[in-house]
Amino acid sequence: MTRPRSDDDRIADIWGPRTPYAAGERWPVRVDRFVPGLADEDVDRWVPSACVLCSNCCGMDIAVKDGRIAGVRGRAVDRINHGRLGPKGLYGWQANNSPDRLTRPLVRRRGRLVETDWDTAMNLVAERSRRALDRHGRLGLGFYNTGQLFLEEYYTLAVIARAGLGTPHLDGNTRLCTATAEWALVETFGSDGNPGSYTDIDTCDTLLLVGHNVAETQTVLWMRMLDRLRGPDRPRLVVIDPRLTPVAREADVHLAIRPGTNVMILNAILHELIARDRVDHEWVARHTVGFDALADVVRDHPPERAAEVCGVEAADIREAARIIGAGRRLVSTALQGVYQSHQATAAAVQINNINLIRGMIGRPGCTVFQMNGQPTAQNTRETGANGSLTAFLNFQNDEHVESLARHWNVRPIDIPHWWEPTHAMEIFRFCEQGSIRFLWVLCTNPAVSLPELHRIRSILDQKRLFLVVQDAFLTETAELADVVLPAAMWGEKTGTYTNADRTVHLSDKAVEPPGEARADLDILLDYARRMDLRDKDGAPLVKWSTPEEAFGHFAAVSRDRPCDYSGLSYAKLRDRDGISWPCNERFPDGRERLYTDGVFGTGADYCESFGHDLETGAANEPDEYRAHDPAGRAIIKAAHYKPPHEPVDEDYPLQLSTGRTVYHWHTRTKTGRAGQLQDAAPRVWVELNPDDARSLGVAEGDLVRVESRRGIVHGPARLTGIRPGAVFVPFHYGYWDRREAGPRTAANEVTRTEWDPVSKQPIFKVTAVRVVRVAGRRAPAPAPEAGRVPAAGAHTVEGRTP
Amino acid sequence: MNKVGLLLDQLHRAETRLGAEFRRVAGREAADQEVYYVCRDLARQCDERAAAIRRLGTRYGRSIAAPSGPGPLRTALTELRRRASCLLGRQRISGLLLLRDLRALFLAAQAANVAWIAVGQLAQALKDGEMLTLVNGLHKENLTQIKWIKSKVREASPQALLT
Repeated sequence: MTRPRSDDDRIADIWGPRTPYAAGERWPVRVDRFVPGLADEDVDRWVPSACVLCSNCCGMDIAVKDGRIAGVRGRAVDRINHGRLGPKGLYGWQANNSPDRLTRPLVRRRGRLVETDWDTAMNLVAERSRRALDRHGRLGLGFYNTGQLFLEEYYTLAVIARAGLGTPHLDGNTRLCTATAEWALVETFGSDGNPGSYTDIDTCDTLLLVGHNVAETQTVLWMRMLDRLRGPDRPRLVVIDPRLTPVAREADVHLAIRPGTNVMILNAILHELIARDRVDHEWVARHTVGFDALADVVRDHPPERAAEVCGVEAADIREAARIIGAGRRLVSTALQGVYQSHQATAAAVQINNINLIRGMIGRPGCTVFQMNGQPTAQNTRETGANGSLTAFLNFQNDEHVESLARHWNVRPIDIPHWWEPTHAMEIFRFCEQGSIRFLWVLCTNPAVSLPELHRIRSILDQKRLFLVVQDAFLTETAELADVVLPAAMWGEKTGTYTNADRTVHLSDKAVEPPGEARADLDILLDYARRMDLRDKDGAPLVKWSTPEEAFGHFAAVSRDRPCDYSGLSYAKLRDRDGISWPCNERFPDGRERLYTDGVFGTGADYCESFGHDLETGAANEPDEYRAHDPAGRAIIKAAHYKPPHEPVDEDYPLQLSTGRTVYHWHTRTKTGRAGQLQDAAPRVWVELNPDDARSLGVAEGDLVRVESRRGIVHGPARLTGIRPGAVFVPFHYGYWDRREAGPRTAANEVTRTEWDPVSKQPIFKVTAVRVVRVAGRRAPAPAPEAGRVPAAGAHTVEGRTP
Repeated sequence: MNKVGLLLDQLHRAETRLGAEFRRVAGREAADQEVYYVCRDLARQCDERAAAIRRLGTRYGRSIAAPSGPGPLRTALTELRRRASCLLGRQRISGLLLLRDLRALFLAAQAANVAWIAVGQLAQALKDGEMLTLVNGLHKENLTQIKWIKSKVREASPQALLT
């Protein structure tokens, strides 16, 4: 086999050269590499790892030269990427070598952060934890983590918070990106975990992508899809997205719906599938419950009604349904366009329903991907460092809690399980009302990434709240902290992580962290010692001191659960590239595809949750669930469409959605420090439809102000193929790299505080705004050129002085 | 005497009260966005149920008057309450106030629940299949509301009482 190697510029040519292939063939290898100035033989060592800049987790080798990371190359043998890397993976590692890394702990003295030693910083953290415990009880402490730690770190954090301190207030920023993926899977299949494998892209004949701009969010997965789309038996592609994304441009049918109408369009597609009897009745009868209720609900959602509500053509809806109904191997996917809209879980579940009524789950080429946003989001869900119990255990199931307590050697009552663990938005609410007095933020930047930033800043800035921030850089959040703990980054520590198709990678430590920065695991272990956390027999609660030992402990807890790691070990992961869970005696090489026998994780004694009412989030009662035990059948849940709570009106006539650009990650803490990425997209911009721009008197590059009821953000206008009435602003642009004061540029200045009642994921995609022209064009909009989608019929406003 | 009508009247009153209670709590808990939005949605559900009960009343010869909308004073009060609650929402006492509100909601929802049970039994005794289907559907909605209130009580109690 030829192995094309590509040293191409992944800024200008984001997805690189095509390697087309046909259904059932192996995706060809293409090795991407960026090791500036060094040939392979000049590199001291290559350390196997995986990328941590999206939920794909592409296998890569880290090049080490003179004790520093000198570059990366894709791993040809890896099942995820077959050698490829996207722009963030290829260039993002340079942040590790950034001169402004945090190298010493900081504490606030007389209002200023000053350097100190670890002992002083950690003693202060422990002392303030104990003070909060004494004065406010265990519910006075909270932890807000990330989607970018390693499994071992999450697991240790979960044990410390839940069994050690006994607080339910532990969640991650995964609440902002993958909570709906998790809950959509739980509500339908009884348990978290994507059913399929990325190899399903290799065999599918139909793709349905809903609110999933995979070309920018998971570039390497898009390369795989694009290679099929350029291959001899091109799959049909249906795209639902308000923006004319690179994905939408490849579509057979692109439904550019109004933001906030996902449930309506999906119900209309389900309506058509049922009306035209594209239903696998036998499979549905044998493997699901709830079909009749779905048929009842979608009866009220014919394409004509949906066309009106969603702002698309009824004929296009019919054509989309026809394509989906004709496919024999359907892969459906969802991401933030679904998860960050209102009715998030209700919509995501309808995508599951499409595959279920077609009987297309558990076979090659047939699956649903409730995609993850962040690289290690899956692990925070598995370990229970987000709002769930460790190992997908059910907090309403006493036997589950007892088994967890046995593993941790604590009493069941020591583990808070009176209700679902507290979600992130509620943790911040408790900080706001003053009932949480100690908050530890690990490797995330809520001062830029949470909605309604003036509120978040006012919460984090309170004197009564003791704020600990653990990060590699002095982020906007760290600047508000009382203690800042310098953390090691990827490549500087060892651990495992799991991608969106359940593939586990081991990433070995390649280099030392700078200065006194420490691995997150070591910081947590130090805290557990200083807090003297004990099990019920008086022995130390946290019984491990290395990542490998932590992994072993988690693997034991996960035995016989859906995310079974008991057959995995560091040795096995070093031996083989990327192994999927469950991995145990029955599946020693991992299980590529779940539910191949049509048996789902919904049994009352096995399931992760008894589920919720999709409209209110009301939790089902255990007895109620047991009385109608689906016992392994998937649960079809229907939902009526509801308009957003803040509709557009005369004052705020446009709908804002926020999102990512291909070159950046979150608040640019890392990607903003990689020259190629930062230069490719240096500043915020505001995407407008040309017709809307014309009526506002705005031309390309004009400075505009986006105003909502909550705040204002400024940026130059870019005219694109976004649908009329919709506005898009990337959310990456905070203030850490600003040299002088200026207008606000963080998109979350204008977003609002509301979340989905089931997944508790905040709503970033539906904010009523108005756009006001501030000044004429100073320069072209700094938006990425390469990723740009030119608007059909783009125009400029004539007669305006630049 | 039209006892069916009387019972429907009673149910209508219970639903109207419950709707008003959801609105009142939404206003008082505006700083808690989930309670705020869900309560407003559930108030609308109550309105729709009340309208369905009025239509049922007509069938059984009982004309039930729709509740009058809020006057200007009430509207101003609601806005005042919403603003006050946003300020109060930054105080620790707000957790206890939420519990008190949820308790009031629970009682109002249970009053409707009992009335729905009685009306459901009546529909069976009257052999009115259409009425029974309608009542079952609407009663289920009321029960889901109760489930939501219980979920919130379970979630909110420890934080309100222990910190």
